[in-house]
Amino acid sequence: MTDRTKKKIILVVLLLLGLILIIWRRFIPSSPQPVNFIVPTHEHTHVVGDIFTFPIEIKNSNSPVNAVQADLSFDALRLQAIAISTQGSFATIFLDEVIDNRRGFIRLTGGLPNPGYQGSGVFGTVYFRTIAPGKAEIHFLESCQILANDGRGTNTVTHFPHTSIEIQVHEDSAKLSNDTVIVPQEDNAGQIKLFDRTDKLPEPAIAPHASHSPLFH
Amino acid sequence: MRALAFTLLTAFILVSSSLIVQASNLTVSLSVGLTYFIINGYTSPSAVITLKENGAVIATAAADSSGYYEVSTQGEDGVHTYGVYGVDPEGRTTPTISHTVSLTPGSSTTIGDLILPPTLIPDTVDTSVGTDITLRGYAAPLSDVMIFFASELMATVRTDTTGLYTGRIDTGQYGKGTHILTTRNSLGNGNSSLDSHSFTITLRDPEASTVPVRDAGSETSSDPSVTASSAPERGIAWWILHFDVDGDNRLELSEIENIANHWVASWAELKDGHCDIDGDRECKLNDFSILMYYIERSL
Repeated sequence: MTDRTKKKIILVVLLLLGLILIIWRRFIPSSPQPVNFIVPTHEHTHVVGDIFTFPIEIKNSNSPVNAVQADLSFDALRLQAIAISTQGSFATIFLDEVIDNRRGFIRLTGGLPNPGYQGSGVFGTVYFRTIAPGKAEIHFLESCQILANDGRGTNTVTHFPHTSIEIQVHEDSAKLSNDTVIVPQEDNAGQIKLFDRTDKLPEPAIAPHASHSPLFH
Repeated sequence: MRALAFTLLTAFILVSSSLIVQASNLTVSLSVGLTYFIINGYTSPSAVITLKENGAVIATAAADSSGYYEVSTQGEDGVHTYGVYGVDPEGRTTPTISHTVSLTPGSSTTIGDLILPPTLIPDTVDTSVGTDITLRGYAAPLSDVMIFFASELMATVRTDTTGLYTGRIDTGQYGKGTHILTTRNSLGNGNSSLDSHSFTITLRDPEASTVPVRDAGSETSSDPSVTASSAPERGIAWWILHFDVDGDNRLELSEIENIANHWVASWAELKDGHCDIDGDRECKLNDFSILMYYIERSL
């Protein structure tokens, strides 16, 4: 086999490989990278009567996402959810918002149009008030979803973090009764909220690491 | 001995009186300082009324057979924003009406005679010019419901004793394109509700095919009257175009509010299966995700 023939064969093989690569990328889309919720790593100790914020935040999305459902369970004996804020959220359309202080459940569901959101950012913020001393857990439930902007709605969530809040009794108990709920007035211009059309969404059973429960049936 | 008995009796009476006074004071102290917010008015009979603050349900009540409801909550003094809505006998919600009030310590603040908007459901939101649209919903019993279509008062109908009203829109007098449908309840004397949920109705050219209904139990139409196409299977793009309210075969960012409203209405109220974009016979968040993916994207 002459050198010229060898070069021709190598050229043809390279062209075929290139063609295969193009076809692969065109027709077999790559799976989106995992995108997960993160829990705040600071201020885990509060006194009874404190109001603190709990950001619902997603981490370092390399794959654009366009729909999010954040389902949280919390210790309803020690924590009371006061409000969910969407100010500063990367999402612009909100489909559902639930605060259930009896069961200890919170849901915020929303999204945004193409090209979606890529990066680390806040989806919403929960305002909690501490109501009794002890260790209170907050869990992201397995019904959480972060869906890729890939035309299929692939769920990118791979793990469901949780955090603990240590609640102590305040030395000055008189202070407690004077606490007032201060939730900032929101500037949510440009956001679309459709909560009152979706109040009947089925909710998951509330237990840490509950089995998957879809949003809609 | 008599003196001792008298002394003991007197002491008993004094102690008893003291206890009674303390108990009375305790009741008073518990009563003073309570701050209430009360809201009442009219909606459909037996509707379930929900009062919310910051997204959390804080009280519920049921309307009586005349449609009268009253819901109250104990609150801390200060400024509060409350939202109230009703759920009719068929499970549809009224829009939430919000009120911001300043509660005064130790007193009740009442918002009275609030007529909740009617519930509303049309039989379709996508049809051809000339095809009638029927609609129904609930409002206060034996009252007037005004039907607005394409920015004009189209008709006024009467509710029955259950609060049910029905109406029919002759679309032949309207051009193709999108038109807004809403209703409003009136109890007379200028006492009216705000508008119901609105529906964006798309009227298409009679020659163009309309979108068949795809419900959870059927791969094809569940209502032959609105199925102009014979193809049982359609691609995602074809279903996506159902949400193209301006009919230019493209979902644009400027249409996003209508698109989102339409998808939620399809899932929550119309139950027509249009929200099931991927055809897996369920309306789920990933259908919404697929819809969002096609905004400003070629189909």
